[in-house]
Amino acid sequence: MMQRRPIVGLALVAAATGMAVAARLLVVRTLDGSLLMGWPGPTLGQFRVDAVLVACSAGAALGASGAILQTLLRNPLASPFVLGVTSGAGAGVAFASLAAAMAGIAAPTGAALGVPALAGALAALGCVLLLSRRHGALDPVTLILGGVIVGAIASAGSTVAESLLPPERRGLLTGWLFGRIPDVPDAGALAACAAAALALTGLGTAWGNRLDGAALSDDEARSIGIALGPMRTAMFIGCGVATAATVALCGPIAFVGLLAPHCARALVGARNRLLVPGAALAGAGLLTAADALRQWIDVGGGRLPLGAVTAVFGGVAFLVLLRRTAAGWMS
Amino acid sequence: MVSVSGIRHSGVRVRFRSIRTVARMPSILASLATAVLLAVTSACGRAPAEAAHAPGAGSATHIVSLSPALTRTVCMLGGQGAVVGRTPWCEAPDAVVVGTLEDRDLEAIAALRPTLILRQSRTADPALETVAASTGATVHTWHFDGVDDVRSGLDPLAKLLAAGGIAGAEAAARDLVARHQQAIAVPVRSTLPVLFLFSVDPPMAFGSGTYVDDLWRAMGGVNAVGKAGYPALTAEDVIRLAPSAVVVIGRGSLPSWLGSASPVQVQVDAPDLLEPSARMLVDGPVSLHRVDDSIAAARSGG
Amino acid sequence: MTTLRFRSPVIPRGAFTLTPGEVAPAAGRVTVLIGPNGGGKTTALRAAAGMLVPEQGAILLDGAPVHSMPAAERAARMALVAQRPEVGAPFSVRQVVALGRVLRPSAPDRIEHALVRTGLAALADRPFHALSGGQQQRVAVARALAQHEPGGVLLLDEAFAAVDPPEAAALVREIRAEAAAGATVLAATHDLSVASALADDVWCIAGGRTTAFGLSRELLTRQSLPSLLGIAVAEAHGARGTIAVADYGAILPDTPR
Repeated sequence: MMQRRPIVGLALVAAATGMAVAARLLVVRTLDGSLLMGWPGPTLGQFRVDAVLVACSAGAALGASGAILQTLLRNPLASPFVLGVTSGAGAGVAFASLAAAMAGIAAPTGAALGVPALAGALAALGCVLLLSRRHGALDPVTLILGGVIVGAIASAGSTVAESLLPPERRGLLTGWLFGRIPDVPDAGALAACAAAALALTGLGTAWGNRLDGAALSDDEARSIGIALGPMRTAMFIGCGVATAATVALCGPIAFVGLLAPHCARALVGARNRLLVPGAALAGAGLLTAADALRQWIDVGGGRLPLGAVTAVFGGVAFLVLLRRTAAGWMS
Repeated sequence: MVSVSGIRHSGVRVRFRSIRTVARMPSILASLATAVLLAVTSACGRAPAEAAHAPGAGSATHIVSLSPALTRTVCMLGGQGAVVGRTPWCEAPDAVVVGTLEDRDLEAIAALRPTLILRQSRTADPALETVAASTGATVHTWHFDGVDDVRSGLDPLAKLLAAGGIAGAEAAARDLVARHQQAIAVPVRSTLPVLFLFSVDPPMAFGSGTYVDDLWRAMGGVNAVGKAGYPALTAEDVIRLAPSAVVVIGRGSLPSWLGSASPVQVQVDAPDLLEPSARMLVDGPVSLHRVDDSIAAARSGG
Repeated sequence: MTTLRFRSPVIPRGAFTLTPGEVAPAAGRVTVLIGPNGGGKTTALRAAAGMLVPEQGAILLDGAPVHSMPAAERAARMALVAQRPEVGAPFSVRQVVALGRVLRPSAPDRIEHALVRTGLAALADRPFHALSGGQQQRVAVARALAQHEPGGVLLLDEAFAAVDPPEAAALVREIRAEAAAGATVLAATHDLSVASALADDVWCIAGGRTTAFGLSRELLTRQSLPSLLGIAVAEAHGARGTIAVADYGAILPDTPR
């Protein structure tokens, strides 16, 4: 990999994200199949602007979380979804809906989803970290395995909560668990997600050198002066909060947290000072691009759900990534 | 927010299901865990109900219905006493819940010793056929999308019920068809394109070929959506469509942006329009006339 | 010059308890740690680095307990090379070496110097993970060399395990140069010929206790080593004195080759 100047790479990432934003704002395929370009005026344009704000906030939060997790856990396949954090947040919301149904009150919506999402996210992360400790240190292989298992259990929990819901409430949760950019985002949830994305990216950038040091083995990282324990705790909680905010805003979204850091790393390099903001930008761009694609693809049955787009493209990219990083970071 | 699964359309349900499977990667463990947990939770409710439904001398036919639309149709044809197994969404309180179309409890179904198993699907269910064969039951599968599907399905269903000892089923079927013809004979006043939504977040519409579309057009109306099936739309799509009226079928609050799509917004709580059953055939046109009245009233400044 | 002193620390480690007694590796000299596996060498090094807290006694760096020292200050005075170098991000060789100074103002000339001294200048821009095991080990040593200020403490845990003889020769030369510049070097190794070249003093730990501490010319001999390590030892004559060599042939049955 030729070392071009990393700052140029960051500019390239920003440019790509800008193009995705422009695409989402200016290009749409109407129901009758024609491609419309240009600014549609204030009424329709408001929806597009909201969609971009949501996609950028959520994508940035997921991208930054993914970059930080991949560094801290020393594993190129770490991400909020692969570690079960996203599914945990989803299960938190599912059980909150179930509790609301049993108590006879309306299900929580919008920003109120943040609390159960956060509880679920942190619980899942905690379980995965506990499961993966070998001789007091995190074992990367067990980590991914643990994440997949905790994610599957959380998913199953969501399904159970769904089935136990009375029929009239069930569709709400099912649709929500897909993950989507809402037409009219909840203002509180959007603000919280944007704030979390900015805060996490800021923290990750400020601590960029420390995160770099955490790539060494535990003993060596400590010996170069990094306070591993407090930094890991703070960053894990930060990633959990950011992921929960994303889930509260859009429902569970897969793959963005995994792929954005890799896209950024290819252009910006591995030093976290530039990688974390790069991954945040890349995540914003990827999710905005996915939503833009949704506006253009028509499979006959109307618009695809966002989850289908990210799953298909993200799934393929994940498989490619899996092959390339078969032995850790060898690629 | 309007609940999407207030609708027991197999079309919508099957489509959602297949997309969900794509979107959820670690699904095998999830299904296993769900199966275990559902088996445990469903076993709890089973024992007392079984005692109440030991086959008695009088009932010659036992029906298990895995479709709320079919359950309702059977009841309207006079067969409510014969329904022993149902889904959680069917309205037949004396029957035992045996699961849904996709997640059916084969053992519970077998234990009820049905003679008829009714389902709505585009695909076959080999496992269910095997269970049916072992208990001497027959499985009948329909698929209802449009009005014609339901209308032409009434007769065979009535014949099955009649063969199973429910007298009057065939007469009831003829009566239902006659009432349906009467109801759609009255035209609606609205001839401009109208958009029918069964969900607003995300917006999902009744497209062409669906029963609401068939009823509305049979009464002289125009559907704003030309696409077939139940397309998911974005808010922008709805606003671009600029229908003369937006009709939301279901409960829940309406988002404010609907006002930008059309000056006329009608909300109707009409469960008969959310299910392709015999009830839809006779009550559906009535509900649509109410909608038509509301549209006319709104247009004239009411 | 920094002083490192083991003041009878007691560190329980499950299978055994490390109680090395009063030991003071001298500054300006290389002390080689030898002993059987599982005997406490790594524990001693990790404890010296401040990773383990003694239940009794203390390990003192310039009179202050190591484990309670502020991390940044300790990092400037003491560098640790752990047993298996692990880098969990796709850094280049130069970036890994630079990690040694990651929390301090950058000093690119020290990093370049460390790369040159360990013979890695040509590989500096290659990805770390594309290197062989021995090369990766040299990168770890380069990082440690770039990290600590002259006259500090250098702790090496099996830094020669995967290196080939020419690479080992370069490392021996640079480590001795560090000691000559005033550093206190404590290096664990299994390789007796490396130990012979490297060591001024020898510290043997077995079962958690110090079984010997003294000059290398007295301890790395055919007479002393067998009782300390449990193997037969032969001697060779090197450029600067005798070299101890493990005599594995001594355990084979008497059959003609």
